[in-house]
This record gives sequence, C-alpha cells and structure tokens, in this order.
Amino acid sequence: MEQNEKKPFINVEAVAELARLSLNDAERTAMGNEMAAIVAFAHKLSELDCENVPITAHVEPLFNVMREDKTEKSTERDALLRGAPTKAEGYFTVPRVVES
Amino acid sequence: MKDILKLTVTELSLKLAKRELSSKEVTEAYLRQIADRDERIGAYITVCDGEAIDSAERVDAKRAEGDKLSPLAGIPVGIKDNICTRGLRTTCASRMLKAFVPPYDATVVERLHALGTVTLGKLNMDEFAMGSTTESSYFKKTRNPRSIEYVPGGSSGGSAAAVAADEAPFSLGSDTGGSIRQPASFCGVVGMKPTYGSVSRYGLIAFASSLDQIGPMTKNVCDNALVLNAITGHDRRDATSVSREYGDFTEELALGVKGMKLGLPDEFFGEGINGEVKEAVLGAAKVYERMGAEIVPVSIKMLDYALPAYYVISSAEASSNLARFDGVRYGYRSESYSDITELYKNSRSEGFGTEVKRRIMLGTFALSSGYYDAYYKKALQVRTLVMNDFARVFERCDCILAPVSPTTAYKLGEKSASPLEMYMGDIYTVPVNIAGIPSLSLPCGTDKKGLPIGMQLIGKAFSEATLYRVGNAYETECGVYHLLREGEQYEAY
Repeated sequence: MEQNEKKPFINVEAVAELARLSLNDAERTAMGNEMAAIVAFAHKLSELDCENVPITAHVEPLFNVMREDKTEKSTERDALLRGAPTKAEGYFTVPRVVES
Repeated sequence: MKDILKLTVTELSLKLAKRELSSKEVTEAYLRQIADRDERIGAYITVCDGEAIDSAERVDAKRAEGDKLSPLAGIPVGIKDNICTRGLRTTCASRMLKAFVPPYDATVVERLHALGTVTLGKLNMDEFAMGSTTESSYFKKTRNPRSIEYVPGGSSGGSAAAVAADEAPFSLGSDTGGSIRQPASFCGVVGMKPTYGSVSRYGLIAFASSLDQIGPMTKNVCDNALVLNAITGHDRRDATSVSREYGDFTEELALGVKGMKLGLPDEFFGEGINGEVKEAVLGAAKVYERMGAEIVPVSIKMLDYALPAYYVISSAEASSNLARFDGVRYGYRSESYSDITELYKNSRSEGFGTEVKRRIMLGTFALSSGYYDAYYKKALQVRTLVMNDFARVFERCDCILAPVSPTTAYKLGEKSASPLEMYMGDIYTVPVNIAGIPSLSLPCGTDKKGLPIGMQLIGKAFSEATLYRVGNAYETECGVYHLLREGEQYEAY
C-alpha cells in the first residue's frame, strides 16, 4: 500500500493543481524536496498503533449554533463590496464562466 | 514620576483614574517612542497617530465628565495584523491582503474599544501567522529589542517586540502552535495562550481553526490577567466559543504557591534542549520549591508525536481556510488571467509567499485521496493520545512547568534555509494547542548572550487563574523581567 511506504510519492504538480497554485520549475523542485522532507518527518506517526483510538477533530464538543429566525442587521452591501477588485451594479464580477 | 513607558498597565490605570496622567499624554509618549524606535525594531506595519490621539482625547473627556470607566480606559494597545479592525488596514503581513480594509471589527477589538482602549496600530507577524521568526512577513523583518541581530520569534513577533521595546504597554497576539508564547519568550515579555473557546475568534483571520486562539502580551503577569478579563467571554458569532462563567483572572494572583504541585515533564528536558535553557527552567523549579510548592516528576510520552501531528492538522486546516483567497471578493487579484481558473491560480500564486504556499501544499497533500488515513486521520488519533497524556498528568499536579522553546532567539536568517529545522523549534509549544489547554509564557532568566529565556506554565482547560497565580508568585519572588534594570539579574538559583 502506498501509504505505508517510507517515502510516499508526492506529485507536486497534481497537488498544486488541487490547491490552485501555479509553480515554476525552480519552485516545483524546491517545493518537492521540502515537502518530501516534511512528509518523511510526519511519517513518524506511523510508529504508533492507533487502532481503536478515536479521532479528535476538535477539543470541544461541536454542535450547530442556531439563532432565532428573525431578520437582523448585517454588514452593508456597499461596505462588503468596497474591497472587491472588480464589481458592477452591487455584485462581484469575474471573467465569464459559462460557455457562450 | 517614573517614565510613562515603564509603567505597567495596572499602574497606568491607577494614574489615569487619579488623573495624575491623561490618556493623551500616555498615547503621545507611546507614539513618540514608536517614531523614535520603530524604524530600527520594525514592530508595526501600520501606525494610527491621528486616530489614536482622537480616541485618547475622547476618553479624557469622558473622565473629565465623571463617567465611570473601565481599568483599561485610555490605555494604548497594539494589535496583531491578523485581527480585523474596521476601517483600519489588516494585512496578515501578506501581499494577498496588502490593501484589505475590513468592514467590521473582530470581537476582541470591539470589546477593547467598548472599554476605551486606544489603538496605536497594527503589528507585524509571519505571513498568515505561519512561522516562528516573523521573517516571512511580506512587509518587513522585525528585530528583537533585547538584541538587534536576533529575531523576535513568531508569528506574533511584532506583538512581542512592541511590548519589549516599550512601543506599546500591551498587545494582542494569536497562538496556533506557540505564536504568542515563543515570541514572548524570545523577547522577555509575558504571553498567554488561553483555553480554546474562551476568547472569540470572530474577526481573527483563520489559519487553523481548531487551534487558533487570541491572547494578551504584556510586561508582567498581573497586566496579562487584567487584559484577559477584558477579551474573554462567550460570543455567538464564533460557533466554537464556550459559554460559561469565566470569573476574574486576577482573583487568585496573590495567593502564592505554598502546597501546590508543579509537574516537571521529563520529555521536555531531553535531547535537543539548550543547556542554559534547561538550567534556567530547572532553576525556576527550585524557586518554586523554595516558596513551598512541591515539584512532581510527570511524563508526556506523546511529546515527539505531537509535532508531526500538529504540522499535519494545522496545514490541513490552513489549506481549507486559505481557499477563500481567490482574488474575487477581496484581497489581491492578479493582472494577468484569461479565465476564472487562471484568475484563481495567478492571484494565489502572486499573492501568497513561499511559506504559506508550502503549508497549503502540505495540507492539500495530507487531505488528498490515498493519504488522508495515513496522515490526517492518524494525526487526529494522535491528538486524542496527546490529550489523554495531559489529562493523566493533571490528576497529579496543579500545572506543568516546562521550557517554551529549546533555545533562545535565533539570529536573523539563521533558520530560513530549512523549514523543517524551523518547525522543530515548536516542539514544546504545539502540544498545548493540540489539547486546547491554556499556557502562560514568562521569562525565567537570561543566557550568556543576554537573550531572555522563557518558561511556560501549562494548565488544564479553564485554569488560567491558577496559571496567573503561579506566574505571579515567581515575579513576586524574582522581579518582573521587563522592569529589571540593566545588570540586574534574577537571583533564581
């Protein structure tokens, strides 16, 4: 199983694609080496037998926090749009995302 | 009168109440100090001269009218630049948020403003709080005020340096894996990482949501408790905020440590710790013994596993949290793109620095199909084991005494070549975040180079008042590090 290998193969290009980052050749090489070293270090975790150990995603018990279903004042639209790189007619704008 | 800049928050508060000083005088003294020193120290990213004077004058006017004011009214504060301030640029020390002006205040800022504090400005940090030296800031490097060739620690390096350089009487930092405690230790000030859920994270730009907490950085322990009183409490805008009776953190300060049990965990004094650091922390244990506390040997067996678990969990959460920075709604947008995917990619690649990209990549990898169980799930299981270790230890002692960092401050540039080596420095601080428990960092000596050494007092959840009690006992016995005069030493051992 690949996850039990000492040095897992890291497909830097594919991970960068998932993370929506583009790396040039030099960055890709450096990133690959650094990630390999850090992941090898993280592999120390495999020394521990954790069968039957429950996971802790969060230290406090989490539950949905609801408020009363009443309208409340929230941040003004104009204030929220102020930081937008581009906007039009009260909306954020992006390049066309549907085929014409 | 003692120099304004040398007064603690507690002393300032008394003098303001008695009208021996006005908030304007205090604020002006700090702004002058920033103007004089900050070019060399580099603690601030943004200084708000005009607004600070205005708010100081408003507090003075209220006081003149006889209004009943809080102990923090009129006291200046510096705020880490990952905490949102309405109308005041909040950069997270990143190109991504270089021009970001938040439309709202973080809850902690709202609380401080309601009490009448005066914001001096926003403090430098590692980009998105990822780092241990404040060298990854997009804007500048901060220097350690105790010795200018050294880093102030990180990621709250600006917050620690501002207090150490008397450029703020107190500041707010944030701690995900040691980011308050380690810079406090490197700069010789006091910093608290509170129990997870006790201080609202609303308006704190998220790094790793299950680990992040905001906390105070101050000259001494008493001030720290006073500030924590002001920022703690339930907030319905943070779904992880804990609703409970928090009490007054200053209440137990003067009780002393007689009869208390302090745990000394073996693993924190093993291989890798610098001799002088070890000696200083063990010296502090002797001081406590002399004061009537009992030192109990304890064990945190999971120490070595907490660090890799931390880097997996924090990077995984970061990769998810930082997905929101896409160049669409706010923040940096690249000038070159032809479609939406390129807009995302180019904006993120140009907007984030190397360390941030590295963590996003690591987190994305750890969460990706085929590796999730081996890394992320395993790390969450180890998290349970770390929490169990602490729970066992706290059955036998009131709190743990441990070093904050294996070494004193690094030289600028010394650790920037190897990320992994830099991560190793967080070994003693990350277990606390993994377990969600509080820890108080305070100075306990100086090494031969004159750099401060820090110790941490780690307690069970919601035991901050006890930690302040134990910390204050040390300061009462040995003096407040920040206020020691040149040549004065702790006579610890």
